[in-house]
Amino acid sequence: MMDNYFYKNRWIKKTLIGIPYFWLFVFILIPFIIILKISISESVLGTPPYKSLYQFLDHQVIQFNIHLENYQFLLSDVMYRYSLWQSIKIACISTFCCLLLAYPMAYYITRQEEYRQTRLLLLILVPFWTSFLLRVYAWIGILSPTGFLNGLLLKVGLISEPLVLLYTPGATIVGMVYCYLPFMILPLYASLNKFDPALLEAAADLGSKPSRAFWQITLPLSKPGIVGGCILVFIPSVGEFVIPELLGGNKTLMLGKVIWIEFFTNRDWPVASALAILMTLFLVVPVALLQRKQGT
Amino acid sequence: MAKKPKVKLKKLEDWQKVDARPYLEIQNVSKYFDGAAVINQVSLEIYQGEFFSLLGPSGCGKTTLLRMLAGLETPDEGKILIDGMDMTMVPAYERPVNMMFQSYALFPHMTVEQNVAFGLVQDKIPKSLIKERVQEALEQVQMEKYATRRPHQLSGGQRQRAALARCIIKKPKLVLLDEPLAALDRKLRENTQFELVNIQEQMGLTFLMVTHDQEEAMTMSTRLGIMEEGKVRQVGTPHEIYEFPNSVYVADFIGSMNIFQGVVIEESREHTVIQSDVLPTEIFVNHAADVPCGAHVSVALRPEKISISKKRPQRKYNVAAGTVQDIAYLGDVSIYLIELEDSDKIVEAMLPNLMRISTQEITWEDRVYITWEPDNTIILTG
Repeated sequence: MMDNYFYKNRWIKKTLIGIPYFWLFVFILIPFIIILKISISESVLGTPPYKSLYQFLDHQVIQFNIHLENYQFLLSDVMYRYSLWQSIKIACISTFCCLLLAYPMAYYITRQEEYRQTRLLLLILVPFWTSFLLRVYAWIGILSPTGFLNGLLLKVGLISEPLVLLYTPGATIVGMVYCYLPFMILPLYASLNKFDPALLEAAADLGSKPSRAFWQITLPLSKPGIVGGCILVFIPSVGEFVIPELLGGNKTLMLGKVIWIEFFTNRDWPVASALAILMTLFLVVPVALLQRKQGT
Repeated sequence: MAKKPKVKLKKLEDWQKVDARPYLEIQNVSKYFDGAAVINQVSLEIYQGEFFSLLGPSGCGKTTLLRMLAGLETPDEGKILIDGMDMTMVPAYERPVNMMFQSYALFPHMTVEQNVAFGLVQDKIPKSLIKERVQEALEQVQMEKYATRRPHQLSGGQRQRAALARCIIKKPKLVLLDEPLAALDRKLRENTQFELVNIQEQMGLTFLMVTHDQEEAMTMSTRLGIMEEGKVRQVGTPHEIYEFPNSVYVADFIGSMNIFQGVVIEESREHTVIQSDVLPTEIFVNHAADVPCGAHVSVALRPEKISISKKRPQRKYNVAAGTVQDIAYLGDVSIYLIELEDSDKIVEAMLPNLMRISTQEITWEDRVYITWEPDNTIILTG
């Protein structure tokens, strides 16, 4: 009765669906439109630091000031291309490392009894209970020349002088893998958990060794989890600001940092906005294509 | 649908020959879970070309035994020999055995064709040959039309056929079937029974099926083994199992059975007379019981071997009077539940419905006599 009432009452249905859409519209689409508007404006000194898109001249004549120069500038300047390349490279390596680490973990968890599965998943989420910033700071303590890791290596005698670990692209990758690992484990766990163990038995029965059966059966069937996890890790990694800022030093120039510099140091809002738009396009288009391919 | 008994044609089946070597030998195999025996000292011999069924209630260990033959479980004690070779510790992927899983376990990311080819691909057989053999196997199960479909696009019956094709394509020495028909509806199940037997005979394969459905086991098998609590209680042809059960358990498990407890009061080489508390006359059986006078035995009597009449039969033995308690009309036959006088024992009797319009004069609450031939009772001591 309740179900029927719920489904028949279109007003309730529309409201329930409408609220999240309204939320998305207000807090995602509108800011995006504002950024898009700024990105095609002309940069000026003042407040705000860009020219209005249109202005009223004499009687009923409107002048539009649309500047595409910002985009042209970004594409021609080597620095931006370099930061884009480095962002993608670091994000790709981080995503790949996450996948390599997360897959055996997720696989192991699904093979446990149900009550243990819940506990292990909870353990993975425990780091989220402390601040993200604190967790990244902790890595400075571990990686710095006088930090925990170098101290340990010196004590053991593996090295004679401290290694340069902090403020390198490597440190950024370590930080990213650490922070984004749960986002890889959870979708992998979800897709591996649906997996019927009888399929592996059938593969063995038909002559497939366990190592081959993994490539033939387990891996292809966990593809949705792999794709989902990679998207969840790759996208925030490309635009990540805090981790490269704290762990990457000056040598690691990623897009998030460049956008920050353009906005706050150079006060060139139109170029910063154009950069943000380009990055969004760059991430949305391949993901949309991927999803369409998976749908069919 | 079991093979026509060839005994009458003077040709013996393998298991009837003295010198025949069994194809599959299970020797004193035991398996323990948490200290309790799931399989308890099972020995079984199966011959080439047989359709053997393991029949038993759920939890009797029949699936565990099947999985041990496939190599998916290892026995704690005993040996498994296939075609004379010790397979006890050989891993599943190296055994010349293929299994059809109860859930079919078709690979969801592969087409029917790829599923069927899977076994051959593992053996690195040339592609052209694989294609040929897949085609052949699909034809055998009438699935050529569905070669490019994925498992989720198939009906239950089609999935069952695809799984069957996948498990026979390597022409294994032993085909294991775990409740192969359990997921099908009744009509489809009956047709598939015929097809399974046909494929088994055509390809000359040895089938070992696990089932809890006695009708299925009876119709398809050349021989069957009745299992109870990890033990094989009796092995024999469907006819032997039905007509000559060796224990009360087997008698009761296969079909319906009326069982009377009694004491042997007269015993000779030609006949046995048994006195039962619930029957007014003695039970006369015209064969020896191999037990001394005074021994407690059970007498088993199939419902279809009892006749009912309103008039008292002129017999000294094998007669009892009672009242009709209930009649179940099943179409082809009717089952009468008769409560015996002087005891509350209920006897089940089955009569065929020979006429469309019922001419049976026997109805509810009637006082009737039941009787049976001395040939048709079974004396059970176990």
